[in-house]
Amino acid sequence: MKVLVIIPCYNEEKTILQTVEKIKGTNYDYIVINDGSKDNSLKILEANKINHLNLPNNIGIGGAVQTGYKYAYKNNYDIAVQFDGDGQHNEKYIKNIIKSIEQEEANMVIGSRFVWEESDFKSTKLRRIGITILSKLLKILTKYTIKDMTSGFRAVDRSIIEIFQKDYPDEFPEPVTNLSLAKRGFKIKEIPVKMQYRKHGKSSINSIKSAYYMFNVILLFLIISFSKGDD
Amino acid sequence: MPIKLIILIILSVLIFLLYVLKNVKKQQLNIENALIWILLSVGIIICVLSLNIFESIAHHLGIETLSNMTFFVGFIFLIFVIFNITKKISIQNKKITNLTQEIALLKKEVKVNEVKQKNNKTN
Repeated sequence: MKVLVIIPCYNEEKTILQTVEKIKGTNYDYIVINDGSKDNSLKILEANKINHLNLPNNIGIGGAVQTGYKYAYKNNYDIAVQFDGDGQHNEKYIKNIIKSIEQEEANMVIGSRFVWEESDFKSTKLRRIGITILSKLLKILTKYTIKDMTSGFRAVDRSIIEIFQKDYPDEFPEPVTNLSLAKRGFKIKEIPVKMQYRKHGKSSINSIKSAYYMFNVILLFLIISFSKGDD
Repeated sequence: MPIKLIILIILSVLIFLLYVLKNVKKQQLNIENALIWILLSVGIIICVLSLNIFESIAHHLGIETLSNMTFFVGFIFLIFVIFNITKKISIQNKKITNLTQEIALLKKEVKVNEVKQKNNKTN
């Protein structure tokens, strides 16, 4: 099966080259989406002849990742893997993540920080509580269990690539797509991964904004789950 | 209401109306967006000319003074307009996102084709 690794990149001049080298080592096809970076990311991509798409505006992580899905759809990839450009994700897990899709046991597989008890990923307490609340809410609304609701390390099959290239949320894409795919009855699996603390750059969710983030996501969750059909 | 004040209001509204129409003509405001302002202008003129009717409406609704009703109606009108603007901004954001994505994909396609052509020539 044809596998594409989608790497969104926004101001990642310090880590992007390293990330791409890691992916090159796995022999999977990849595409870097430069989301209107203000630093030297684009220059680095061009100088090193890295396969990339360049978005002339900054359109946010959701739009950037969706561009990757559009590219995957156009070029007939069977599996797409999201992989962060900031060095947080470990390429060794890609093989595990796509295995269940190759064997057609799942439509989407999420690399999760929380299915392992001994997971050493220390996120902030507030963030952890937030993710737990989202997980509980998903369970109530759809009966699905997804522990790591905000993980951006995930793989999807062709049927979901087709959905995502057409319709992908700009805001809070991971939790929102988890909910809408669960609502439609897709098979979703979680497998354990370890993630590194980001060395450079800021998470798109910092601790001050966490409460605001949570409020918005919960609101969006309720709106999506109580509006019938047309999603 | 003193006649001087009525004339002043009608005159200001007419100037505003002319300004709106001028913008439509210059294509800086499309007719769909201009409609609400044209209706507002006409509405204000009608209100000013038939104050007695509105005073009795206010009275029947239990609103003590006409100015209170004016503020109330104006407030609702503005909320309606602002809500529509935020909705339009969201729709336009979506469109910009789409265009940005298409540009990136097209540029890539052009580049790939250029490389292919070069390779064909050298072969």
